[in-house]
Amino acid sequence: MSDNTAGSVNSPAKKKERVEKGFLAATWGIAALLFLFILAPVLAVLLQSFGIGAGAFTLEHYERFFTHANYLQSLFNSIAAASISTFVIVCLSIPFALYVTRTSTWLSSVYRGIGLLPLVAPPFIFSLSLIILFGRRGVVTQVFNDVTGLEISIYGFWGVVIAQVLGYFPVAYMMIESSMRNINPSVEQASQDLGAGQGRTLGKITLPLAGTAILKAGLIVFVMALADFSNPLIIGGGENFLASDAFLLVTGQQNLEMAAVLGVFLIIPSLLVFLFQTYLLKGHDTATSQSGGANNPLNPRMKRLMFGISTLVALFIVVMFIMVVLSAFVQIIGVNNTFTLDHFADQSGFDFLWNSVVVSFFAALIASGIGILQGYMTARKNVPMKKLMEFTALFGLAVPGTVMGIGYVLIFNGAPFYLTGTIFLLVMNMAFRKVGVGLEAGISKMQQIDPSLEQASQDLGAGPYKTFGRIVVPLLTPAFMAGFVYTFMTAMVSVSSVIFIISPGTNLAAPYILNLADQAAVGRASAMSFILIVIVICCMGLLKLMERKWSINSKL
Amino acid sequence: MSEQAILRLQGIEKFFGEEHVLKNISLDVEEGELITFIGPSGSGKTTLLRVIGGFHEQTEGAVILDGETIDQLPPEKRTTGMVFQNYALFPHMSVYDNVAYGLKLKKDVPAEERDSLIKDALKQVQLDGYEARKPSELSGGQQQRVAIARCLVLKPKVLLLDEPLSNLDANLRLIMRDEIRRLKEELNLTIVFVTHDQEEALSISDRVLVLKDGEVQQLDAPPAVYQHPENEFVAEFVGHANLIEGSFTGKEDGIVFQSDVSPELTFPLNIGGDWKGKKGTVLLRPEMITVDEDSPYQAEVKKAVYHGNSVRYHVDLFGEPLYIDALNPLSAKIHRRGDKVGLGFPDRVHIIPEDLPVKS
Ligand SMILES: Nc1ncnc2c1ncn2[C@@H]1O[C@H](COP(=O)(O)OP(=O)(O)OP(=O)(O)O)[C@@H](O)[C@H]1O
Ligand SMILES: [Mg+2]
Repeated sequence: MSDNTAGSVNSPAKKKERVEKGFLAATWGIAALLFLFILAPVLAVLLQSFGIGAGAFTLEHYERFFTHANYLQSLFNSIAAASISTFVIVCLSIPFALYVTRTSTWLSSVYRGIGLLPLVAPPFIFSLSLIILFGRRGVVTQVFNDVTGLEISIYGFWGVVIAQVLGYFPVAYMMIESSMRNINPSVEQASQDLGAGQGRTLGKITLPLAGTAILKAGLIVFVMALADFSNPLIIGGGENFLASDAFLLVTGQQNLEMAAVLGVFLIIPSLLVFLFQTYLLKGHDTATSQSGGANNPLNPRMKRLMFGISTLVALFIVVMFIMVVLSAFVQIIGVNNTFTLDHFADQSGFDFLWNSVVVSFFAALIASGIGILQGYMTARKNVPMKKLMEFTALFGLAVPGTVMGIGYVLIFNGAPFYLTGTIFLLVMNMAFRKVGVGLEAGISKMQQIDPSLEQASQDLGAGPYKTFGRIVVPLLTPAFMAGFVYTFMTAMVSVSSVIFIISPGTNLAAPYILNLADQAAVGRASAMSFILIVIVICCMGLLKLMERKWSINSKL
Repeated sequence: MSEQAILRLQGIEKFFGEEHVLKNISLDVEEGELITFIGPSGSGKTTLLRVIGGFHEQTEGAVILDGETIDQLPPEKRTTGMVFQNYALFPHMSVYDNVAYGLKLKKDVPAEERDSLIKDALKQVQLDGYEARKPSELSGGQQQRVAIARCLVLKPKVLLLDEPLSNLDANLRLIMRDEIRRLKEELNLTIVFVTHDQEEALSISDRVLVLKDGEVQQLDAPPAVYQHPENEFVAEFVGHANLIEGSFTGKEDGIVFQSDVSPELTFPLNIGGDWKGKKGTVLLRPEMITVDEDSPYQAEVKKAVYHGNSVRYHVDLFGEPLYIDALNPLSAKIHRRGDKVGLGFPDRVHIIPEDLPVKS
């Protein structure tokens, strides 16, 4: 209980307001970890960009940035590509979400799955399939060349844009879909009842209600695309982009100062969007008025339109995935289409896959474990630094992977840690980049749990720790599972941060595949991607199954 | 102050920040007694109950349970049992495990005795056979029984219930009311019960504690509270009341009451002569005024509300608004708005003396 007793005469009255020692210790422990694995790396990047750490304070590196065409070009390219892909993604997500939420055929469920499919693959999967189709020896390139005698090339700015559109589509789609699903159908029906046609209802009611979600989705996609690292590397054709250049500066030239400057330009927009989201958009979700039934169906004309657009997107995604699968099983796709399993004979690939599973598993365990513990303490205990810790955890989600990676290099490469290349550091990196998801899940679940359950447990004789272990933890299991599944999945396919801290001995699957794709080893890259995708889907299926069992068990 | 009081509250004060929520509350609850806290919303009933259970710490005062001062103990160390308004059953545990929960934490109950204790507790609340169910598979009344069994199995010295019946429908509420009474009698339970339903309070309690703004207004057995409220607040909060201020004058054949508001309204009373020359407020419960067509008091019906077993008339008598409950309307005519109706006044009434104003 944390009731403020004014003028407490008896001093023991204060005793109960104090938080139990164990929870206090946990808070300080988590705070230290959040500082070390989220804040410190970002601070290090910031300091390094001003030369601090390597020498005295200087603006020399920023000067260099603004006077060299290459750097300015990378800034421009990143912003331009991100803007274009964000615009296209939002334009495609809206009809896609409308089709999926406002029709109820088996096809709309299939489309829903397809829309989310890219989440289970590494973020550069579409670069890979674009190369398979339109690369120098691409399937389409050759046919096109034979027919018209012209050369086409996917490498370059536009290749990056297309890959980003497909790669980040599910992020926006997911958010917009869930807000559209939550719009109370009677609101739309009322609009139609008052004489507005479907088009008008869509424009005047549905889209404004989903407006906050659409804005959020657009902002997040923009920040992600801006910080996109792998697509420019594979399909950028040497064009300059911020994140990929930062990576090359670190690995190629060991120029950490310039990399840090690029990192600062990556982090500024992320930070702005993050602050905008947490402080201005919070509680603005007008659309989340619990729906009172099935969503309002579309009229036939509208349905055909939405269906057309959605089909185009879905087909594109499916074709891309199919190309990767095909190219995994033939010699050289488009050149020698004989079936082979040679690409799978890749012992180091399998070792790295195993590393990925282990690292992702422990990262997910730590991220969602800390998430629910801290979520519980935030919601119920009078522990210090609550707000600050929540902010830091969410901030960790917003920091671009590249920046985090550079920061980890700066902090953990040398004394006193010497941790670069260890499994431990990979686990911590992935865990703390995602701990905000587990924390939010924990906090929001705690808000649904009536405090009287914990009081009842206490009343029946259980102390605070027993109550936490026997009542709170089981009830938070769904939140734990949600955080776990999400962290595991994203950790399996993430590259941009860990690529800075892997070593030849402790490589992971996703960076390894990126490397293969970068070297145009398309067959092996496809084979590894295929296995990675299958593993992620299987793990998720398994976890979903467990989740369902758990959630049935603890239904209120 | 009784010697065998199992629960004693002494001078309880409670502040939430600046808000003074409980004001100098003292109370002795005897073993086997069912005492009800009643009062309007925000009067501090729940807070007082939670002070006993250990979920709020009083700012001042002492809570003594069975001779032991417990007010520094956390809830898990107190031998009180709380039944929550929403039952607070653990949704991830079966009925059996819910009841077993507290027992497993008690070191002085050997493991091999647990099972029979749990079965007994479930039998007491008539839930044998439901051991394996999850709380979500039970009706509201059954969930309530589990919540009670979960406390009973620990043999608490006091059972604390905060509006336990408010989530049930009207019929079930009556059944559970009897059920709680029955359990109390059978097991000689000491119960503190919170409700805002005055009828419930009157019918279930041995004594009723009426609270207003954190202050005790009256502590008495139900008939005393209903018939002899100490102040106008209690009179109006417990049951319906016509309260008429006026003065008592002496006549040769006894005392006559005269209303201040409408001096034409006078009626004789058969009460002691000490009232002569004094002022006070007369309490007339609606059912105390009878319909008597031959009466000299002819009132005008302003509104008639049919209740099945009675009709409530809002009438006007010499400018004094009154309401009366006419019972058994089958044999009597039901009057309409505008009708004249004759009223009969009782000659014995409860009087709230003028020099005893409502507290606070
Ligand atoms: N935890 C708390 N912090 C601050 N004020 C509180 C707290 N709990 C109760 N109060 C205040 O104390 C007063 C008494 O509240 P309490 O819940 O005891 O009333 P109640 O008689 O149980 O009312 P109800 O019939 O509505 O349940 C109210 O004014 C309430 O706002
Ligand atoms: Mg209450």
